[in-house]
Amino acid sequence: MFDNLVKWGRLKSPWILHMNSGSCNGCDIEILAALIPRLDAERFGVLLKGTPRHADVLVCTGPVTKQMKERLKRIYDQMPEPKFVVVVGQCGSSGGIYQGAYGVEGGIDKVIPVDVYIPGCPPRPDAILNGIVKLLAKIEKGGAE
Amino acid sequence: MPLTNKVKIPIGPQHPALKEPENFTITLDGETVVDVDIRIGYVHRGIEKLMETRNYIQNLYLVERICGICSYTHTVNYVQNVEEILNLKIPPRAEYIRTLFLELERLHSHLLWVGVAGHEIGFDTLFMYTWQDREVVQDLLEMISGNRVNYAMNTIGGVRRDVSDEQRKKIMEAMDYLEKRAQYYKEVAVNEKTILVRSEGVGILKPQVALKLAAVGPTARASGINVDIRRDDPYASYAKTPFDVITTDTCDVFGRVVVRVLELFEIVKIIRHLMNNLPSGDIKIKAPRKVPEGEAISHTEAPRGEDLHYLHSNGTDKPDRYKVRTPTMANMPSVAEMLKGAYLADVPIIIAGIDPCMGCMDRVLVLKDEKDDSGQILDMENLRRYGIKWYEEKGWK
Amino acid sequence: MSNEEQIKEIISKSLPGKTDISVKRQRRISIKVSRTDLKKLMKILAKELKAQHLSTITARDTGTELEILYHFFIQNVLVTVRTSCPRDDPTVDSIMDIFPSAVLYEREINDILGIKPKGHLDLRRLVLPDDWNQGFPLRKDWKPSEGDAVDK
Repeated sequence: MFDNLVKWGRLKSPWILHMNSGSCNGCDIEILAALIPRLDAERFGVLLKGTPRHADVLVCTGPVTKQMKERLKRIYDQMPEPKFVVVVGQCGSSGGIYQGAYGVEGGIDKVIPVDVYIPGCPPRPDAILNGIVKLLAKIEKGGAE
Repeated sequence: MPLTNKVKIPIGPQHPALKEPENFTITLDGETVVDVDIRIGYVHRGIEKLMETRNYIQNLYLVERICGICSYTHTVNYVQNVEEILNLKIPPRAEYIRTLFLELERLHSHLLWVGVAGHEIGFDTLFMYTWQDREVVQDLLEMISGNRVNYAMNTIGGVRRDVSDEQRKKIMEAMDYLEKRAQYYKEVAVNEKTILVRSEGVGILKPQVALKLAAVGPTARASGINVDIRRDDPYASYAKTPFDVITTDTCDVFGRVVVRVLELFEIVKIIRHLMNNLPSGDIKIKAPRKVPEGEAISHTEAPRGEDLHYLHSNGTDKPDRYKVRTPTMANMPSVAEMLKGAYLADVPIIIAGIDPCMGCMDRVLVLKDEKDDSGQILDMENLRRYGIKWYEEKGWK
Repeated sequence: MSNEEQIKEIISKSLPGKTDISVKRQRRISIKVSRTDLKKLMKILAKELKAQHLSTITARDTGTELEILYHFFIQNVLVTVRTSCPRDDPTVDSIMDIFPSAVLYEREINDILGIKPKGHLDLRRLVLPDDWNQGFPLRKDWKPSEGDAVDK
């Protein structure tokens, strides 16, 4: 019963931690653009939080540079369960255009488990919101993985 | 003051534990910054090396993604370098379209920045308004190029898409609207107490220091440095386009706000001129795949300042060496100077003042007591709120 | 006299016979100088030409040696000073005492090409991770090590 309560709480207002693991910022701007009145993610209760300890959803961009790898793991570890990861953009999905570069791991799922991939370079703000809504649907169905 | 009272704060991308590379490590004495240490590199992907393994056409798309906000200026530098070694003169219509996109990018970037700066000082309404207006620019960019970010407009020898008469009309209408909005932001900038209190006298960069540390862009121009690559080493069609270089001499964050807001009017002026004088003709000429041995350097006035690219070619279809120096990197030493002597509460707005590529200056920092290494966690969001509260308590509200 | 010609003349007069100056086109000058004369030339740029704006420092591996290029923007001309060092003695004098803005650029060429700026006060890593032990990526003979492969 408690599980359902928590799930309901998550559905109502996912708290998002936005992290850039080495991206060019293209995806990051479009994530922010999803918050402005035109698209208004807040109607989904989506709120940006600065700290991992209160976040439900990690929205992550970038191909994971070598320097960000440990940090990314640490942030993920600090998030309380249940937690979910949304990858925004090509680079986060597979390394994107930086595949083969010596400075990147390539793909966020090489470092932490990912629930939703939103492809694009960058994906439009509405595509990003669509991805987050899909995550909410996934949570409703039964949580991560 | 005994050294044990000093506290070191690394300001970096996320929550680090012990010794990890941060962007800035700040030493605090009470509430004042006394020393700053620079270490960049967490966005270092290895692009320059990667470029040596891809051909000139593939690199067009890679270069664009060095930074998602200033992406077009990077591709302009790139194609200009290749075109110079190939001795290609691109058609005038292509030059005008390149200039159009360079200015549209400056427009969206400056509006983005005003919003982000507003957010840093607790003025979220400003963030919402500017980013809403910015959507007008995004719509124009998408209308012509097909994408909101990373426009893929350039090719070696010209541009890939044309601007139709219908689109020209829409651009002009948008300029009328945005000029009115720029007028509104100008009034807000000089009259809104929130902005004045948080930015006047904050983050001082004296002109001699700016010159010595080779500061660029609005950061330098707010300290009275009269440099703008568009005028000083003209490229695309800037030599044929009248505009003013905006400088102020307040040397503070307020100056950096004023320069960018006033530049909005210049952008509108330039774009109107381009659209009224757009030459007819082709938008590109054919370019060979292989680039003979040679060398070229191109620099542009990106929204953030001078962006410089260097190319060395070796007769193959791949570059031998490509080097990029972004404007944010050029301003790093200046930011360190600005932070020295500043209040902790001013740190977010001073860093934001150079308009750093957002990814470079993100999020969490950790307060470390030098004595016992006990790591008090203070994230950037809290520092931002701390700054807002600190000023409220000073009684300006 | 154009700015380019003026600059060329001042440098030729101040350091006669030690530089190889070419005016590549409008607003582009290239000045070649030996490693030993580099600092002398830098002082001349600062004193005679009142140069302050060092845009950046590029370094590259020519295959036979390492070339270092200092890009200045002086009187609206991009002046590139170039020098080189052998691969088995990859050092050059630091110019940060004359041009403080060189501080980060010299760290960068040390990081990615292994060119040590002698006299630089802070040679910690700038762009590569602290635990990087795979050599100098921008050298031509550099190969990523086993654990470095990313799927293509």
